Amino acid sequence: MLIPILAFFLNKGNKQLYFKKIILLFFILKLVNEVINNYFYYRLYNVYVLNGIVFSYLKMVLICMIYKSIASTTLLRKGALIGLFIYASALTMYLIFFADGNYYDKIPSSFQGILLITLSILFFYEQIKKPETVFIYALPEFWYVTAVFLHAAGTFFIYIFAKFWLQDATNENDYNNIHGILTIIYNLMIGFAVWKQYRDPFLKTTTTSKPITA
Amino acid sequence: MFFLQATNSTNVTYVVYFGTFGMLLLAVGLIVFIVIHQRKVIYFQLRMKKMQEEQQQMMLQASIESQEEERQRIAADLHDDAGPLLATVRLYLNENLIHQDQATQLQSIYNAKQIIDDTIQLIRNMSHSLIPPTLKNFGLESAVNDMFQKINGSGSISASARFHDYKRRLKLEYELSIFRVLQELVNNTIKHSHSSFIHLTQNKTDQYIYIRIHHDGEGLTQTEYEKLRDTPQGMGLKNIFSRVKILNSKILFEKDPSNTYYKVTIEIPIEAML
Repeated sequence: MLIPILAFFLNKGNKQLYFKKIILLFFILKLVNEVINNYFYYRLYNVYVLNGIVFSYLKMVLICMIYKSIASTTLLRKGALIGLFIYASALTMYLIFFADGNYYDKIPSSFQGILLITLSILFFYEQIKKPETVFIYALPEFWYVTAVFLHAAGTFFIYIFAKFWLQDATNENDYNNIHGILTIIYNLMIGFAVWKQYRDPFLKTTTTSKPITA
Repeated sequence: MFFLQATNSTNVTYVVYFGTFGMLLLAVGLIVFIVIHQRKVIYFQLRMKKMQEEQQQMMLQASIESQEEERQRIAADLHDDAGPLLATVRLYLNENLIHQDQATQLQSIYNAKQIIDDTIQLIRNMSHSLIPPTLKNFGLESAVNDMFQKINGSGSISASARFHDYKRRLKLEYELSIFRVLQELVNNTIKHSHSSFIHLTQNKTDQYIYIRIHHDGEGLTQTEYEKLRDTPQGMGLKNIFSRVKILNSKILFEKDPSNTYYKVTIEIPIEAML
């Protein structure tokens, strides 16, 4: 989790980019969330409310802000706002009517997953439609979205089944392995996205600002 | 159904493993597809751009070559025709003229005057070939009629023109370029088509002016024109294309549905009118 934060401060250029600043904010929030979670969890407090209500909303607001800032069409911008609204409504409904406060209840996370997969597909769709001359992998936002997309897709099933699957304590190891590997890849890729500058491998040029076409 | 029946721990484990693996596979597949697709699109765009640049280069080359050809023709005319005529005049009016008798002097002066008249006529012809005075003074309609009259005079082909609505003239630069295009088209028709007649018509709509040439010989279709235009030999066609493009107009080569005639249509925007 420290990798993207370190990458932000190690990156000499592009710090002025809005979406990178939000990524930094997101990871700081995530770090605080983890510290608080662990602190309370080891003291046997139920962290479900804090985790589910406060941080889930905040994190999704930040993620939607990132998607909104990297969008180049109104489709993704509107998608991020509408998605956030639907997510917030669904999460609120779930927390009020269905949540039982179980620590392994990861259903809210799977809501996040659905929204993130949808937003990522929208991002890729708008990149395909764009009359672009810059390779997609030369864009830092591509690496960010790829990281989020892979993580959301990979953790989707383990989150949905977490509550049921983790009833058997032997599965906890598998859960941690899958989740851990995906999270390491996610953090590394986001670290790379934050560190990366706009550089077109075809044109062999590096720019310090976001290209007009991107 | 397997997913719905996954009630015991082992089945759930399978579902989680396969589900996670499947989702990751789909996600990676989608990303790889997007990257490959975008690369293909970019390379295609770059290829297209390169081709366009090459075509523009060819057009520029054709335009330069045609200018050079024109200059060489003028230089040759001046050197081969005007040069010897003026040299002859100089011979008649040499220093020995004053030592000769009056009759010889008068004869020499008369001969020199005749040659100077011929030179004036020659230079006038050269000037007219650069900008036809009829076109400049009376417009495209008169210039085309003039050109067709000369063609008819040769007796080898029948040429006629009819301007239906040309009360307002085109701007001079348009008239000149269109006239050059028509000259090239008519020359090509006479040289290559073996047709018995050429008929030119002019019409106008709210947005465009149409000038159409019909002939009954062998002609070109649009595909053939585009193919020939892009060969190094198609200099005249390249010139036509670049002139029409500069005028923001269009040219269309067609075969009549009856397969009897070929027609070439030039579409000029109405803004080109005075």
